Amino acid sequence: MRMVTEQVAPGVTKANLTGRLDIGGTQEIDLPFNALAGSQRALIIDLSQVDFIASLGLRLLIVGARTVQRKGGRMALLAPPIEVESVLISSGTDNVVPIWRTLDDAIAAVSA
Amino acid sequence: MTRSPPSVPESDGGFTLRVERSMAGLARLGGWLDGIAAALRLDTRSELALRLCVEEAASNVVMHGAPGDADAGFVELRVAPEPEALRVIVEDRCGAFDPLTVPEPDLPTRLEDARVGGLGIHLMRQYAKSIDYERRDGTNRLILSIPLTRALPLSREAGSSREADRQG
Repeated sequence: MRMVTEQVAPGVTKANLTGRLDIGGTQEIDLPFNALAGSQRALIIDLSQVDFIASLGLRLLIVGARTVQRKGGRMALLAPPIEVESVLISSGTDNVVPIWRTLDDAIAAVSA
Repeated sequence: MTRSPPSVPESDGGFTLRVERSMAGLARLGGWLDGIAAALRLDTRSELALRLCVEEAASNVVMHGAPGDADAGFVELRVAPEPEALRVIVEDRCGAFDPLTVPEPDLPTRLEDARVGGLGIHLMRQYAKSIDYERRDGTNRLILSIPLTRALPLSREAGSSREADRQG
């Protein structure tokens, strides 16, 4: 599991995740991901290169979104593949951390 | 990257893994499942369902299992191919815990209310064809049937795995 961050608009950071958010992958990025969520107010998690997620990965995303929200910020998910999106929907995660198809929409959502 | 033993099918066509009952131990699951998916040439949907159900079932054992005896420090996993499904058996020797008694969670509508646990059994129910639990001789055994979106080309193995079923 890899995580690379970039600034995609003023004050907006995008974290590009690559790999599987399975038990092993989630443990690999747990610390840097939580540190990132703790330091950003407008955060986009690009899931386009993530090909699996299970409840440990969902927990990572929900805890991260909550951390950002506590500071008055927003976190959004971007472009998950269909297999990952189906798990996000089955678990109701999409109800609480919005999923966007395009980067422009995600930037607008977290900047608002 | 955590190394896992090669996923080589046993004489009856099944795959077995015994891991330490800890999140670090379960980090080995990913590589083991890679090997099974390759050996059985699983399509994407079947692999997703297998990976999700194995991960959730094993995570449940780590998070909910209380120590039972000296063997409680391990989780044993077995995947056995059948003509139209994969039979997954997850065993531990912790105190009795039937995950099927866990009530369905209310799916969150607000981030503040979102629970960060309790989703595992809910997800397993979405992706498995059937889930059964039994407690026998101090062992918790969760048996899942994962549907295959296309039938596996099995010959001899299919007969062997049915034999294994009868033995429980």
